[in-house]
Order: sequence, then C-alpha cells, then structure tokens
Amino acid sequence: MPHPPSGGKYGVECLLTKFYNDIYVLPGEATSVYQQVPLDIGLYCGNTLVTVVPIRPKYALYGPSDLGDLCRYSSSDIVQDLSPCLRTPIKIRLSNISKTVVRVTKAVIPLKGLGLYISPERMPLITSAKLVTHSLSYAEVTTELLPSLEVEGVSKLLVEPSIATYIMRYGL
Amino acid sequence: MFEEITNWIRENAYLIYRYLAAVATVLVFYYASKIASRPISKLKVEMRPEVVHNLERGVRAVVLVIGVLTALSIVGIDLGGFLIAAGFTGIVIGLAAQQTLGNFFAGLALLLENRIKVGDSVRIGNDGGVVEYVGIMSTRVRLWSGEVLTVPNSSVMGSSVYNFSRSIARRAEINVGISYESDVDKAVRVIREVLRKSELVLAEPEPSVLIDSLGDNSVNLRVLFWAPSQDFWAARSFVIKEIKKALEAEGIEIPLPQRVVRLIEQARNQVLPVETKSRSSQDLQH
Repeated sequence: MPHPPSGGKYGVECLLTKFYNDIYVLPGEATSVYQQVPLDIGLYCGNTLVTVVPIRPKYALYGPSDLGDLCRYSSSDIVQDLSPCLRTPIKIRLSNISKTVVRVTKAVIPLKGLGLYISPERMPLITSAKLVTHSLSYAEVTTELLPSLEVEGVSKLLVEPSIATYIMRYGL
Repeated sequence: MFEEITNWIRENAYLIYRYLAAVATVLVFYYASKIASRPISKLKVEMRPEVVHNLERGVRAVVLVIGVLTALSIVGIDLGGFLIAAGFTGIVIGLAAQQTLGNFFAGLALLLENRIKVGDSVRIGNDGGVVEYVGIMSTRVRLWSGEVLTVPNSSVMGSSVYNFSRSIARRAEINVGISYESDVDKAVRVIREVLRKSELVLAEPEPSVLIDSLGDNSVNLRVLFWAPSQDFWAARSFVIKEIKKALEAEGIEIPLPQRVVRLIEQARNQVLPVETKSRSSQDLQH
C-alpha cells in the first residue's frame, strides 16, 4: 500500500521539498503551492504496518553540517518518472507574517505528521502543510489533518495524520 | 622474650589501639568511597561515559582523602601543621610534576569543553581512530588499524583535533582526468547523472563538477559532493566506480600518462638529434 515518505535508511525526520520556482510572498499575504512528492510502499500484515520500503530515496542536508538536519529530498527531478500511484501532490499554504517580502525556495516538512487518504478513485491523497514565515530566514512548518486535494466522495484514511511542527531556521 | 613483648604491649596499649583505629578508619572510608560512587552511574541524568567515570573516581578520591585525614587525626598528627607542610610539598611537587599536572588540567578542560567524547571518530596529528576512553590524564584511541594509542591529554589539547563524528555530512572531492580528445561537456553531463542517481550523494548541498585544469596528460575535472558522514567512504568509493563505468560506457577515455617524441632532421650525414619532449609525469588521480 502507498505510504507517506519515510525516514529511509538514515531514519530522517523531515522531508525537504524543493520548489520548482521560487515563490515570493508579500508581507501579510498568503498563497498556496502544490508540489509533487514521492510515496513509499508500506508492507502490512493484516492491519499492522510491518515496514516501509522507500521508493527513489534521496537525501539532503538542511542547515550547516554540524547543526543541520538530514532530510528526505523531493523535487520535480525525483518524481517525474514515477507512476501516479507512487506520487501525490502536497498542498503547502505559505503565509508571510513578517514586514518584508519573503522568497521561499523550499519547505522542510516533519514526516511524522504526514497522513495519507485514498480517494474513491483509489488515488493517494497526502495531507497538507502550512509554512509561516517570520523573517527572511525563519519559518515554521506545521502539518495539517486534511488532505491536500478536495475530491468528491468519501476518502478512506490509510495513514493517520497528526500535527507536527518543524522550525526552518537556516534559510528559506 | 614473650614476657618482653607482653610488657611492651601493655605499656603501649593506647598507642596500638589508636593505630589500629586509624587503619580501620582508612578501610571503612575505602569501602565507603566505593559505595558513595556507585549511585553516580545510576543517576537518571544524561551524562557522557567519560564524565561519569571520572566523577566516580573523583568522589572516591575525595572520600578516601577524608578517611586518611581522619585516620591521621586519630593517630594524633597535628593536621594544621600537616596541611602547612602539605602546602609547601605541593609547591615542590607542582614544580617537579609540571607535565603530570599539565595532563591533569588538560584532562579537566577536555571533559568540560566536550571537544571529543567516547565513540567519536577523530584524527589527532597523523593518527586517526575511534575514541575509546577519555581519562583525567590521557585519552585512549583505537586506531583504524586496530592498535591502541594512548595520548597524554596535554598533547590532545595542544594539537589540532579533527572530529569526524560531529558532522552529519561531509564533502568529498574526486579528481577525474579525461583525454583531450573527449567531449568535456558530455563527460560533465555523465558525471552529473551519476551523482543525481546515487542515493548516497546528497541533493543539497548541490554537487558540483568543475573543470579544474588542463593538465599534461588530461583535462582534469574536480567532482565535489556531500555524503552522510556514516557512509562517507562507501559513497566516495561507489561514486568513483560508477563514474569510471559511466565514462567508459559513453566512450570517454581516462588517459594514462603520455609522452610526445619529436624527431628533427637537420642534414643527411649528420647524427640526428632526438628531441624528446617529456612532459612531467602526472599520476592519474582518482
């Protein structure tokens, strides 16, 4: 079964998704972007998740080499060849509460907060995230509970989401 | 003879009693020091192993010193005078044992500064290995080759210490030489593709492939990429192998060192001088 991106062999806790284009957000304004992220494969025994097999694992360093975090990496290069059932768009709501225009090039999303729904058409729907920028190089990313896309019909919950926060303090 | 011994014991009974009491006091404090130091390792506070170990030794030493001083007072030695004498003795010992004291204070500084800790992969001077023990006087490192190196702490404090365990990721640098007849742009593309596909190569910081120099034998490319510290050497080895395979598959030559010999003809019956342009050899660097 599809599963949200996992920590892989290094047991990382975040997903760094690189935006295709830089996003500029005006002070006090908000916008939304959709990024394709790869899904992993969860192996179940009955209803119990046994293990998660990463698909196209690639990693990135966010921050300095001694203080930063190793993250799972996602960009258009990673997902372009993947089957539609192994990738899904994630909605990232950008909000700028600082007093300057902020340029956002990436988002670091905590993996443990991501959940997965299956639409009536059996398409995977990952939960969304919110990125709030406080300054040119500081932002808070929080996972949300609702799926990134609204579809007709009732979506089945496959992996339960939760609210988790990551502080991006080494630049946007 | 037996009567003399008995009489001596009767006359000095009080003194013998005091000496026995002093010995008993030292023994009691010796075992008390062991009991007092045991809870330190069981404290539910996160502490580095070398700090726990040296704290235990410190507590045992303090309790033992109290026991010895108590025993001396039981025997009847004037502690005031003893301490004054100890002060002067300390000055003499300090001058005579500078190196030992230097190691001692360097050990304290190492523990407080947290420069290295047990389990870290380090290089001290020319020696590299894993730190096994950080003591108050010396540090023990198990070298990559398996030998155990004991370094006085003053040397550790005075040396440049490379700590490979403090970084989550490290940058690798590989030099690749391609022949002058090869398509440089194609070679760069091929190498970038190898880096892009490898799981062990980090996508950020982004890898670089630079044209470094036009060497005597080859066009030299410098490949820079970051890899997780725990898989650094595996990543480096894998990338070198994959670059070689990929370049060979695309028909790009990694040349061996070359020489150009030029013969110059001057006149028919004269000996022909052979001018050999021998380029300074440059080993193929990987």
